[in-house]
Amino acid sequence: METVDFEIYEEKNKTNFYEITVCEFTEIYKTYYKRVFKYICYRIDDQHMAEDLCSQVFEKIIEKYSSFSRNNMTFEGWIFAIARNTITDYHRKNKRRGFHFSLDYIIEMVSSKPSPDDMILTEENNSYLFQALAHLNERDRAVVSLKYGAELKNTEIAKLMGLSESNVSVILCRSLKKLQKKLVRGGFKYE
Amino acid sequence: MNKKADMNEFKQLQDLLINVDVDSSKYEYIILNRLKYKIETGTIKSNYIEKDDLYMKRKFFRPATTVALALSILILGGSATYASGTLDSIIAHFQIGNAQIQQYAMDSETKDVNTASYDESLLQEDTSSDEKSLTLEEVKKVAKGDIKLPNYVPEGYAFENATASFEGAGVDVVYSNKSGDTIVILASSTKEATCGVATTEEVSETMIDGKKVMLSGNCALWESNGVTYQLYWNYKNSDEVNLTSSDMKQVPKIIESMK
Repeated sequence: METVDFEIYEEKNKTNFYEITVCEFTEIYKTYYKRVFKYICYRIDDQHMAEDLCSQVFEKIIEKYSSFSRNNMTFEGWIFAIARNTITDYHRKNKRRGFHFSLDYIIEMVSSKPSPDDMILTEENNSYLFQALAHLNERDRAVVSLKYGAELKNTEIAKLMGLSESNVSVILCRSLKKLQKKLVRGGFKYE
Repeated sequence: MNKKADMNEFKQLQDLLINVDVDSSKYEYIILNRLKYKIETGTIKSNYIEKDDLYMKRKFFRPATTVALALSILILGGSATYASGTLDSIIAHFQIGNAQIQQYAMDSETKDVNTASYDESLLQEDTSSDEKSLTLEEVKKVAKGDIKLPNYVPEGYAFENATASFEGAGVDVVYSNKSGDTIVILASSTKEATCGVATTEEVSETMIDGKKVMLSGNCALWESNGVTYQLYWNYKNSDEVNLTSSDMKQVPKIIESMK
């Protein structure tokens, strides 16, 4: 494959390029970080990978920032398309085998509840929830993650996944029913 | 447990999903500071440059074993604005078999999930195993009631995978073509296994093979012999939200073949 040295090419032809500034990136990061992180947590079984994958997503945002075009999709949709592709790549590399759930990670999570009993209950409930999520098939889990992790609207999810809006709503309904059953069978207690 | 309590738990599940604390703050500034440092030192920079109004990707020589992940952003036309908050502007409500269709106003946020078909039998013991991908023969065996699957699919489409739920009372069959377009057929023989539809698209009614069929965007719903069917035709690389005219002619053929 031929390679092109764009650095030399730039000097000769004075091409334009746009590098994201630290300020711009910080604004974007602070706006989307929590949703991206949560979306990743919902999509993967090994929660310890969330930090690494989240970092990868924002690195790609920096690298591809110049290529974003508002004519094609919203900025929010573009960010979660990158996140989704990063997760896809992660699964492809790791070829998920069964359930790699890290209870230790969940135990580390600290709730804001003052009561020790409430803290234990919250940690246990989060544990049940992630275990239940892991039993959804990949497509359903992706839709649920985009809805409740990334906080996207049904219409945006439909665009990202190449589904109709109606299909998205049905997938959400069916997935919630499945999650409900899993949680109740697993001893989940609503607070 | 009564139905009201069940509905409350369903709502609580949604709240849990929205509000669960994944402790994102633990890594927030670690990642931010790392990436800020990379930008400031030039360790990470844009891979795209603009030349003559075109964005061209820098090419780097990579070893043969490097992963070649292509950017798979779906390029769809149009932009959308989304209302904040939640507005439940239901403008029409339809029922077909066990499925309810709620049509919302176009400029309102679609209701998160149509729970109208929620059934109090949800908490009954479900001994079915976790969903696994089934072959066409396997799903036909496990399907309960009078569930029929198509004997005709449009040219270029082939069976991709299937799953069953609620002990065979619900089946989900996917057919796909090489372009990644999919035809998804959901068949359910009980109310429990049926989900409602929430849509902002127009809903119309037609007759196909003696059956009343509701059409909405890429979706067709009908009922036959106690089974509720939902057909979704998804186009992967298109912003088409309605069935094309040629595909519309295929839908009756699919439905008629389900005997």
